[in-house]
Amino acid sequence: MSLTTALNIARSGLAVSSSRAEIVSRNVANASTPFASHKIANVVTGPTGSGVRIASITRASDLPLYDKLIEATSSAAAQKVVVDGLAELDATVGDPENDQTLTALAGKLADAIQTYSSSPENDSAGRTAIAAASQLVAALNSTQTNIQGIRDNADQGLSGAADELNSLLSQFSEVNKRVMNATTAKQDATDALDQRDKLVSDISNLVGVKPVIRANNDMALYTDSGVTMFDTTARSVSFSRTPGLAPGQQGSAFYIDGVPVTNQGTMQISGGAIAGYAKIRDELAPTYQSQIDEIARGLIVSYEEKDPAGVGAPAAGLLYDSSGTYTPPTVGVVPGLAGSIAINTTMEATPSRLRDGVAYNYNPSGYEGYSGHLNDLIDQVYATQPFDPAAGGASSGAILSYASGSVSWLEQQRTAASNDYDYKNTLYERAFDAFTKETGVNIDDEMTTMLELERAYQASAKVISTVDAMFGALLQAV
Amino acid sequence: MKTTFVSSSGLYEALRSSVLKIQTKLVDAQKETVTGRHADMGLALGYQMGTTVTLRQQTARLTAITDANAAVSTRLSGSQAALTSMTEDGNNYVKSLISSPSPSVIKAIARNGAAALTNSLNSTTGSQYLFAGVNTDVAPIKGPFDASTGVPSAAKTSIEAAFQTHFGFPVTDTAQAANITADDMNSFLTNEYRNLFIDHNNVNWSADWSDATAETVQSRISTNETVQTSVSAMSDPNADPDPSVAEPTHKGFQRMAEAYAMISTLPVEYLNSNTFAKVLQVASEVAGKATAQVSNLQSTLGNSQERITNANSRMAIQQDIMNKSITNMETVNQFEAATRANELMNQLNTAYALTAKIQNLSILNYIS
Repeated sequence: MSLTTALNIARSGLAVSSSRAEIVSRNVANASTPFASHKIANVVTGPTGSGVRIASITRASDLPLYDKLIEATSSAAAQKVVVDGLAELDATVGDPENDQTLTALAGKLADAIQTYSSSPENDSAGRTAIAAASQLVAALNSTQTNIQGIRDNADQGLSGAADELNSLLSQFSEVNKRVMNATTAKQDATDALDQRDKLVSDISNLVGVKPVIRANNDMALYTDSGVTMFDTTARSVSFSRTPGLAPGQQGSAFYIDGVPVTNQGTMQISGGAIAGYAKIRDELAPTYQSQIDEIARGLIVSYEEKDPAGVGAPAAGLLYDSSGTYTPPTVGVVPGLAGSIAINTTMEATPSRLRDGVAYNYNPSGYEGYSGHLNDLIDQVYATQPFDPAAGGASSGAILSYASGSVSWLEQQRTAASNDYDYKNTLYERAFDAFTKETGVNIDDEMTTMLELERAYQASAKVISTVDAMFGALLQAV
Repeated sequence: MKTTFVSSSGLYEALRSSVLKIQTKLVDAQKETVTGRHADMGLALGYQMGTTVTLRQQTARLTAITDANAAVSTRLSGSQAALTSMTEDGNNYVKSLISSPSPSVIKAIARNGAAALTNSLNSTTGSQYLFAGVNTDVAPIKGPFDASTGVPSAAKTSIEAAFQTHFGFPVTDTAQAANITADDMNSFLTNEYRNLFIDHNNVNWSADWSDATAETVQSRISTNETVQTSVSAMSDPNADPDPSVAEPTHKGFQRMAEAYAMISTLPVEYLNSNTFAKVLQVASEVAGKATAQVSNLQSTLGNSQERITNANSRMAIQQDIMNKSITNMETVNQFEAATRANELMNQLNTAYALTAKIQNLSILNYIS
């Protein structure tokens, strides 16, 4: 009967309005949640006599924008880690005004020896020179400690990232199942889809990700280098920490699905915090460490004592390797030399031995005014010597210009990394901006829809009460 | 109909992130206004950081050398003063010798002259002897000194022994002294006596008179110059000419000592007039040569003093230039930084106002 049909259709209208109101309230609740897209109810007219129904609930999405966003997230995340690591390395340099760079301290030592050579009889000038040498050695030792500390932090970062990645992948596995079940059962999968998108974005912070959609909304995840992270099941992510990394010691590799993705493996990832940590731990910090090791070696060579008779081999003088590995004047990076460099104990106790020599005695009669050896030391300091190019610095030069070359290298890396980060971060912000604009919730829009729904509900309710009145009139007539 | 869609969070995010960025820049601008230097020196300079570090180290080096040169100059001035007084005394001595003095008068003059010479050679600056070569903590002329002659006791003993060997009687034998002929005395003075002062390799000089080293003090006065900054009471044996041929010209102090000791240690009051005249003649020749040689030493030191002055002014100019470069690289224009800070603050205010206004733009205000 048409009245009953009208009633049913009005009922379906009420149901649809209520469902749409539910969707509006879901949207409004998620207005500030990142990656929450606004849901749209697809209302269709049902077959004759059944009114309207909601065919499906979809969400606003933009796949190309999303892919771009994921890419930008991981590349910005990697670069941020690198910039932060370099900023920590920069703390060993500081503002040149403070004269705390290795160049400044090595220069102070040379100047103290210069002053000593002008008054070689002055014991306090000798003590000043030894004190300057102590400062220099302390700075070298602490710089090495700092660098290894930064490497250790990166190693810890990798370990934390492995744990986080494992937990994210297991969450992803759960949510993916939910998505697939809802899709197969033709139910509302939009919330689960939003959650899955957020998880992929979180994963992309750690590792460069390539998501692939398959049948039934199933998603597989691969790293940007092609290693499988999730395919039906989550793959294992493992990393074993090496506490107390020593200079020259390699950190262990990061494994995804049994494949090493760092340490120059064939499938090395290029995006995400993990890539950033690996770059700091395996490339940038070790190169800087080699440079300060070369500076230490160059200083030992500068202050070496040569045989005045020209027969014996040169021996370490004011500065020497306390671990016994290095003897001047061999060329080649000695890992950890900056930490084991020390002052000759005889000279430390008796500064006049700096003037007279320890391994070779340049002043056998002990003349107080003898300055020959000190003048020779100064010539040695400012003479050109060869350096190992594997450290990333110059291959020859005076020790002081090598040391300032190292500072230049670090700051240049910093400026380049910082500029690169600015660019990548802007790209990420733009992509995120565009994505949220497209897919996010606009409260004003939802509230306007609400107004509309209110009226629609009112109208349907009015229809029902009118039909009820009609029924009443009909029944009264009977 | 499809219209451009903007989410609410999109609206707010844009302002929020721009406010954060402006605040970061504002902190840097404030720091630069106050200190006048780049907020993050490494980021601002990049690879030039190495250049500025090197410049600072070089400036420090020049300062250290300039300061050391002050100490060296003091030593040189002291040495010059001593040399001047020795030259003056020498000239006065020559004048006295050629003025035909009486024996007792000239003996007194010689004795005082010898004492003055040893005093001058033993002058110090601080606790360092100026004429000791590199053996600067030991007096160049060693005591004990004999008061009656003004020379070291060991020297007096050697001279008297040589006299005895040559003439056959001691210096105290006044009777026989009168019989010494002028030629005999001349032969003694020019051979055995002279040998006690200017022998090859300074064997007698270092035994009786001086503990100084022939090696003189070499000082670095600039980044690439080392000069001799002292003269020694001990002459350099390597500069001795072939002894059989020429007379040495670099043993000024030793010859001065020879000239004074000649009169003060030998029994000149008891010599006959011819011999006495001969002694005076030889003494005046030696004293004349010695004074000239000592005077030459002054020009050696004067040369070093001039080089130090030149080096100091060169280094001062270099430091000036380097400081200018450092300032250029490291400092920022504080006015520009202050202007920038002002602009950023205005931007920040605008952003805050906009944020407040946009927040008020909601349809909820109009739905009852």
